[in-house]
Amino acid sequence: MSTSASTVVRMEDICKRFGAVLANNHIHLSVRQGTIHAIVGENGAGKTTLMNILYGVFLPDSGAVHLYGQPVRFRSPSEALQAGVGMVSQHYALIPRLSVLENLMLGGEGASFSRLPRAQVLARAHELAKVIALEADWNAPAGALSVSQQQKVEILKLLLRDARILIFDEPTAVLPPADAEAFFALLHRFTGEGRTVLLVTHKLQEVLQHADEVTVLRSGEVVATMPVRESPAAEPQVDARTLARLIVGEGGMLPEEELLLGERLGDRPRLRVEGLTVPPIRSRAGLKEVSFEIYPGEVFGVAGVDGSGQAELIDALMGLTSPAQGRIWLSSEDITCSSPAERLRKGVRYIAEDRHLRGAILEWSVAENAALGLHRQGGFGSALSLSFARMKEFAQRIIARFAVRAPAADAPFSALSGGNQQKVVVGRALMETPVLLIAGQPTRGLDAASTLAVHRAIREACQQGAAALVVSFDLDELLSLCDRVGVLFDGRLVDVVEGERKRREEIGALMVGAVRGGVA
Amino acid sequence: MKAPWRQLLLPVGVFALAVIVAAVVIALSGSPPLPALAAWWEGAVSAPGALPESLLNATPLLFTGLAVAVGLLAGQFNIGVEGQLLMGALASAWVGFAVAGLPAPLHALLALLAGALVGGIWGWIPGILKAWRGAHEVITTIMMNYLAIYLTQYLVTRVWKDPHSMSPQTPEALPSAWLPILAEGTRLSVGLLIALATALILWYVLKRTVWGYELRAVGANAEAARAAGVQVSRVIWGSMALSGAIGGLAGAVEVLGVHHRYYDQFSPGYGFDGIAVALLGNNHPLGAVLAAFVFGAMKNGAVYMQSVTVPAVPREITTVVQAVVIFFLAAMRFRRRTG
Repeated sequence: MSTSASTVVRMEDICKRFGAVLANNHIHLSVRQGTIHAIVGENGAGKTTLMNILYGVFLPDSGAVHLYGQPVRFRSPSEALQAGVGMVSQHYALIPRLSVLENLMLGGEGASFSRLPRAQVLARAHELAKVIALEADWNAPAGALSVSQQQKVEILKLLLRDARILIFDEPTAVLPPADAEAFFALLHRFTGEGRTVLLVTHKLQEVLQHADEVTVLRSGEVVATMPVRESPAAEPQVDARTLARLIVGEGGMLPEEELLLGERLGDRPRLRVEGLTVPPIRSRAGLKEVSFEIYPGEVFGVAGVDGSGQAELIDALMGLTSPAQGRIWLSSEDITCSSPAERLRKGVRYIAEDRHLRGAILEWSVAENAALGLHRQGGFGSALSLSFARMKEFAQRIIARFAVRAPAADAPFSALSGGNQQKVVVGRALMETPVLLIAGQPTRGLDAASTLAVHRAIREACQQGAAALVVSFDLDELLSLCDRVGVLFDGRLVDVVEGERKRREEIGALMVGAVRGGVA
Repeated sequence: MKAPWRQLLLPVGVFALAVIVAAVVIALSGSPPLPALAAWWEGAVSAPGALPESLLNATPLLFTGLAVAVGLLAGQFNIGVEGQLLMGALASAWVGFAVAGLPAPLHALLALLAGALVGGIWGWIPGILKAWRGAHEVITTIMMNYLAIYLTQYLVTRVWKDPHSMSPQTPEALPSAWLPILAEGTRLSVGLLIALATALILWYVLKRTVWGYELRAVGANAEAARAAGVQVSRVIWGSMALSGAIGGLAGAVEVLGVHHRYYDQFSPGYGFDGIAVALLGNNHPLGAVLAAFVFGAMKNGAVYMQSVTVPAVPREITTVVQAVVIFFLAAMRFRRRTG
């Protein structure tokens, strides 16, 4: 493979067990300096666990970690950071209430009572922000930034600590295409400076386009480690099919099926939105006179740069925010003023864009989470006698249908890997055909096979008469799943594309406000 | 869900640790610790008549422990149980002496309800302030405690004072409002059964009803609960009102079952002891039953210990145990959340 001189990270014979699950099973990993080393595998294959071990979040049960040939044993991320290892997790670790600057200083405060190094940090941050093209108000609360900006702040945090080894867990899962490209340009810049990047991803195209080497994990074991290309400029030596086959294993299902687009079932819209307006708050764009219709049998996609009004649209449709103007009809019924509970009762189902924030209750069991939001529908008993047996049975059906890897239906939800948690959240909304599905990034953090399963389930629901609205930052997802795609830009629905016009380039241009269509 | 015995492991361990700390404190104060602990146990459990008296001590603690637990499960830290208890106690005392002509069980029932209602209102006010205006319940419930302390003091010294007595207390309640004694020769009343029934009902409500499910959802993740159609503000004021009502019942049962009147400063801080009970009981209604008994027996036994040890070990040693329990369990809770 490589000479030991240029090997910066060597993980040897790493084992890590969580209860009954062997998350990492005798894993070996070598990473050469100045490369982008991709780690791929299905949900629950052990990728995040391995990276968390490298970053000091967990100690391995057995095995050793070497950095520049020296054995290290990080008991916390701050120890890892001191040694130059930094990680940007799937769920960003910024504290929303603190300002950007305060977040940057966090962890580098120095002695307890020393003065905060505000000025120095600010000066260096200014410089580094230029490098990574971050434009942000240093005094704004971090929670007000868009996802892309938050990610850059996280990167900036690592650069301030001069991290030489950068770990990214699903960095592009929520980035719009333009930002994702900029992100990879940044990664190449980092490797050019001699930094080393570990990239956990589900997107095989990213691996083929950008990685130098790839390690495939399956069920906690390394099934392959191979070079992707000889030199940074060279063409890839492996293809997506080979990688996908390695990821799923011999008996696994390959996600190569084309989804059939739906037909409208009936000519009366299931959802009609007219002139919907939500005032902008902080960096959120709000909504400006958004109007559209979704018919039964149809999947309507919503594209746009993060922060263009997607969250406001979902909140307004679910009744979590009341619009300043405009009306929302479900079939022929005006639901503009209905509560979330009433909408749920009328058959509206919701897949929350951030499962930790609003999709699930981590402390609860899988079964209790499976019932969340459906608990008033009568399927789990009456108001005065909820049946846990029925919740469990329902959870078991979700587990079976969506191939959730869970120790048991009454296992704690937090014991599931991120992707499997997402499957429960999705499954809950789709086990029975919804009248209207509101889905925020339904496949966030899912591997290819699971993504396909979710797409199929959404399609199936629509064939049985549901209407669906899907917000996603993954253009490929929108293109393959949706019949029509509406593009939000600065709170306006600038266009709705379908048929011939439903192309990457067209949507990409609309997303950044380059073209303005007539539809609105 | 962990196995039940594993849920017991932590509280039992922490309690054992607290007793060891108490033994060290006793030794430092100059008393031999082992005889003191033996006397403590004797006074709490094995001496004749000790057990009923321990149960009597446990009764108000069970109510206040349940009151705190309901709040915590809904994400509300109700420090105002003491005030809710005082208001509920005075309300039931008033019904006890001022309402005449009712038959026995009805009069007592009405007095209990009055206690629960007034305590409930005293909890509902901070609840509604939180739900509508975002005022933090820790601040407002502490303020409500002071209001309750001074308001009850004013009422029993000026308005409803017993004319035959010098002390600040209400007239004695009519016997029709008294809670019947459970066992001849003890002070133990049916108040204990009411407390146990409250624990059972609460356990069922929290575990098996939609309302309890939503309450726990709000406590664990309010944003997720909102997205699941739960009216979060309603749960907040509802849980605070329920918590207050149980606190009010604590006061009512003390008045109607033990003292048969309200006198100023009758509560040695039962409302605050409830925090330790809820923590030791792991916020579980049935856990609170065990925890309340442990603390009640300890309080009772300490009185005996104080009388037989030389030099006397002050009965306030129980607060040492309580403090250690709170200290460790609160630390563990925090650790579990971050780790």
